[in-house]
Formats: sequence, C-alpha cells, structure tokens
Amino acid sequence: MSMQPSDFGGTSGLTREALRQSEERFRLLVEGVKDYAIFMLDPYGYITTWNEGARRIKGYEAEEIVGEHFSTFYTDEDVERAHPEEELRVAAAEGSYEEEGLRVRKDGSTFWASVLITALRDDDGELRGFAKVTRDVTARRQAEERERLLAQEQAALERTTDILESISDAFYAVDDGWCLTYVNNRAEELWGRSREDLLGKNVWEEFPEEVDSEAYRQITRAMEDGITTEFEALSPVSGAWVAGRAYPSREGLSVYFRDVTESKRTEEALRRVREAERGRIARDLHDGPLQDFSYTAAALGMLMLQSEDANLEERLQGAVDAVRRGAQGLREVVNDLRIEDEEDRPFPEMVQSVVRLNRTRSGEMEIGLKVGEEVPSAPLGETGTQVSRVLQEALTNARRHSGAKRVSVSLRTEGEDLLIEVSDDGAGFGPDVQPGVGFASMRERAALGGGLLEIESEEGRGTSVRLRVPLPQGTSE
Amino acid sequence: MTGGPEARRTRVMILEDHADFRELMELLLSNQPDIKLIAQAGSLAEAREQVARFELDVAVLDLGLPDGSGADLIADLRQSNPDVGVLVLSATLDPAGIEKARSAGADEILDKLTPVDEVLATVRRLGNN
Repeated sequence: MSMQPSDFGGTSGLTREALRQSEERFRLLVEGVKDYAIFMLDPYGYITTWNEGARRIKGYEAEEIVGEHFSTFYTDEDVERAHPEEELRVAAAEGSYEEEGLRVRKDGSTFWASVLITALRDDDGELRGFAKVTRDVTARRQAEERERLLAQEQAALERTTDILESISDAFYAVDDGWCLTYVNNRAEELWGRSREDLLGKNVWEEFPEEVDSEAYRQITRAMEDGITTEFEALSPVSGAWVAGRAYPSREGLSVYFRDVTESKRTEEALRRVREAERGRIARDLHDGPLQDFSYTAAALGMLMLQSEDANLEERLQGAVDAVRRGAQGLREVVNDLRIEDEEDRPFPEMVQSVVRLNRTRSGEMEIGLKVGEEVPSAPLGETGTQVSRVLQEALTNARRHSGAKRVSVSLRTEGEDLLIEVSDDGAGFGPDVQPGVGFASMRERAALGGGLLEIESEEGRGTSVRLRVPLPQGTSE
Repeated sequence: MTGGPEARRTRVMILEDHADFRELMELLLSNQPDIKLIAQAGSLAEAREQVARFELDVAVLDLGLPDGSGADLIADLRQSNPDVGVLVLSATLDPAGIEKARSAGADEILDKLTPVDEVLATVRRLGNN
C-alpha cells in the first residue's frame, strides 16, 4: 500500500470540506422544502432561519421575519395565555413538543397547523435553540369536519328513517313535481308496490286510478294552497278505506295515511244496528199505540154520535182531543224514526217531504224552502238521511222554542260541499244559554256525516243553524 | 137512480188490521141504511182474495198492514172494479206512504184521527160518484 504522509493533513482538510459540503446540501434541501415550514429558533424563541415552505405557509419573506419572536404566528388568545412560551418549555424539558392548532398568517388569516418543536442541544447538553416544523393541515381538518357533519346527517337521516319505518301509518313524500322521494314500508304494503319501483316516479302516473278521488282532491289542495288537509276515502288502489293527512313540506308534500276499513266496518255495522233499532221502535209504536190511539179516538167519536146528552158529549170531546194530541205526538216520533227508510229517495224530494211534514205541524209558523239548482237531484244515501235528521231537528227546535213566525230553509252547494241553512225570526238566545239536547244531537248527526254544524243566535234576533257536509262522491255537478 | 133500494146501497170493503178499529168501522157502516159492508180483511193477502169476488163501490184502506201497504191493493182493486172509489186512512201521515197511495190512485186520503162523521161523509161521496 502506498500512502503519502501529506495525505493525513489532507485527509483532515478533506473531511472538513466534505462536512461543509454536506451541511450546505442539507441547508439547500431544507430551504427548498415547499410543503413544510422548517426554521430555527434561538433558546428564547427568536427566529434565526427561514425556508421556502415557511414563506409559502406563513406569508413572510426571510428578511421580514428572521429576528422576530415566533409568537407572531399565534392567535391573540394563545399569546395571552403564554402558549408559545409553554411550548418551548415543554420542548426543552421533554425533547420535543407536538400539537395541532390555529396559527396566524402575515395577512391575518388563520390556518390549521401541525407543529413539531424539537429542542437542539450541543454535546454538553446546553440548549442552543429549537427546530420548528410546521405543516398546513387546513384541508385535512376541513375534510374531517365535512366527514363528521356528513356522518351526523347520515345518523339523523337513519333516525328519521327508523321513525318513518316504525310508525304504523303509511307514509310517503313527494317533491313539488309529485315525484315520490320517500315511501315507507307500510305504504309499500298498502299499495302492493315496492319503493324501488316507485321512487323518483310521479305518484299520479303510478296510481292513475286515484286521480279525482276524494284523497286526490285533498292532497292536491294541500300542495296548491300550502295547507294541511285531511281525507277519508275508499282507495281505488288498495280497495281499503283510508284516512290520512297531507302536510306541505319544504320539498313538496308529506302524506300519512292508514287503513281504516276495519273501523269503518264497525262504524257501519253500528249504524245499521242503530237504524234497525230505530226502525223497530217506529214499527212497534206505529202498530201498537198509534193504532190504539186512532181506534180510541174513533170509538169516542162514535159514542159522541150516539149520545143524546150534550154534557156527556162535551166531556167525550175533551177525551177525543186528548187522544188526538197523544196520537199526533206519537206520529211525529214515528216519522222522525223512519227517515232512514228514505235513503234511496231523490234528495230534494226527501227535503221537501221533511218540510211538508213540518208545515202540517207548525200551525202559525210559515216554512219557506229554497233549493239551489245545483243541488244534486239523486239520492244521497246516508248523507241524505243525516241531513234530513238535522233539518228535522232544526225545524222542531224552531217550532217548539223560537216562537218564530217565519223559518226559511235553504240548500245550496259550494264546491264539493252541501250547505243547509235553517234560520228563523224567533226569540233567539244569547251566548249564556246552554244549547239543549236538540243541538247536541244535531252536532252528533252532522259529525256522523263528516259535516260541520254552526249555530248562530242572538237574543231577539232569531237563530240560524248552518250545516256543511261533503257530498258523497260522484253526486256533485 | 135506478133499481130497488138494494141496488142503491153503497157496497163497501174495509181493509184494516187493527181488529177493534175494524169492528168499529163495521158497526159504524152497518148502522147506515144506504151503505152495505160486503167485505172486510185484516191483511193484504186476505183482501186480494176478496177483491176478485165482490163488486165494490168504495174501499176503505189502511196503509200499515202486517204484509205490506194498503196502497199495494189499489191496482188489484181497479182491475176487477174499475170504478171503485178508494179512501185511504193513514195513521202516520208519513209523506212517503201518502205519496205512494196518491200515485197508486187513491181518491181520498184521510187522517185516521178524522172524526167518524167525516169519514162516513167521504165514503158516501165516493159511493155516489
């Protein structure tokens, strides 16, 4: 091996040069890093070096910031609680300090920074300063925040879905173009269609048989007028009676409905039982007491004819009158009970017959009847019966309690509703008077037919009874 | 007027399910020299059977019968006795029943509570027509 003595000294010189070159390369490397702010602080926190990443992230040129205290990068709140100093203290004590926090750029804007501060000590362990590496993690933080919000929304949506799926009501939602945006499990069942098949499609195109049904009218009214509406109707889709509500929503409409066929059936059965019972009572009264009264009146009349005694005749006349009054009272009851036999009579005829009957009973009181041309001429079934009963009750009240000279009955239609008004010119009553049994039963009957009853009265100014009831389907026009 | 006194008497039928009332009418009519009660029935079926057998001038019909309405008899009556006068006595004055009787061709409809002399006068008037 050949080795030159001079090589030793040269070697030492070469090593220093290599070290210098290595340090230079390292300095250039650090200075050139763009995504990280890498700089040094002296033991007191004053900035001693700056790199390209620091310039880009924090906005300062090297000559502006070198020599400044690094607390410049902190928010006022952090400075106030001496957080920069605390960071240095921890780094000095434990070797390094790491956090994510808000930092301030030169232009005053803030960004999320991931910060690592490392204490630099010489061979004797003397603190010489700190190296600080900062990265802008705003984008990542924002992404995380977005993800968190998204997860929250998802959870809320799941909760809503759980609720909508667990309720026993059928539910669906449509947008303002009638496209289905939600269909719950129960709605799928009632419709016999799957949501996959329905979502995004126009509800009326999917269920064209519903168009023009009572439900359709109420649901479209909710959309058009922005109001909550209710409906109860036979669904042509499921063949079931459904009752529900339509609520306007931000996107369009929310509709809840349920199958009420069972309760409808019960209601109908109860109604039949009630009507059958009324019919039986009417028959019993007619065949028994009423016939006996008629007989008794006739028999007494015969005795009067045969009597030669004027005094006896007078007493018999008293008895005849009493029996007639009794029979007439009974006759009213029988006729009231029998109204339901007339469900299939043309509606105007039914009303006329009620009015005529009351005219024969009303003595001095005049009863006027006005039927609007648009009032259906067909039988109205149960609705007709309920209307007749309310009318009967109102006329009975007028006759017995009002002392009126004139009562007017008017019938007209308004949209899909039938309006009946009975007003008299009698005594009326003030707000303190409790409405009697007659009014209560009128209200009950009105409600049975899905109607609304209003009573307006003032002392000395007569009474008006107004009934509004929806016309049965297919009878308006 | 032609023929003997027999021929001049008004021939009447009563259809009434209330036995006492029917008896009363029977008593009332049989006391009248110009009236002859020739048939009486308590049900529609009974009356139908009789209608074909007798010549009648006046029929007094009750509406509410156990097997239907007296108004249902009017068509049968008119078939065998085209000129028969029909008096309906109604206990209820129920408008539907009265309209039915009227459209079936009843000549007179009276309240059952009408005084008996008035009923009698109406029977006479219908018999003379």
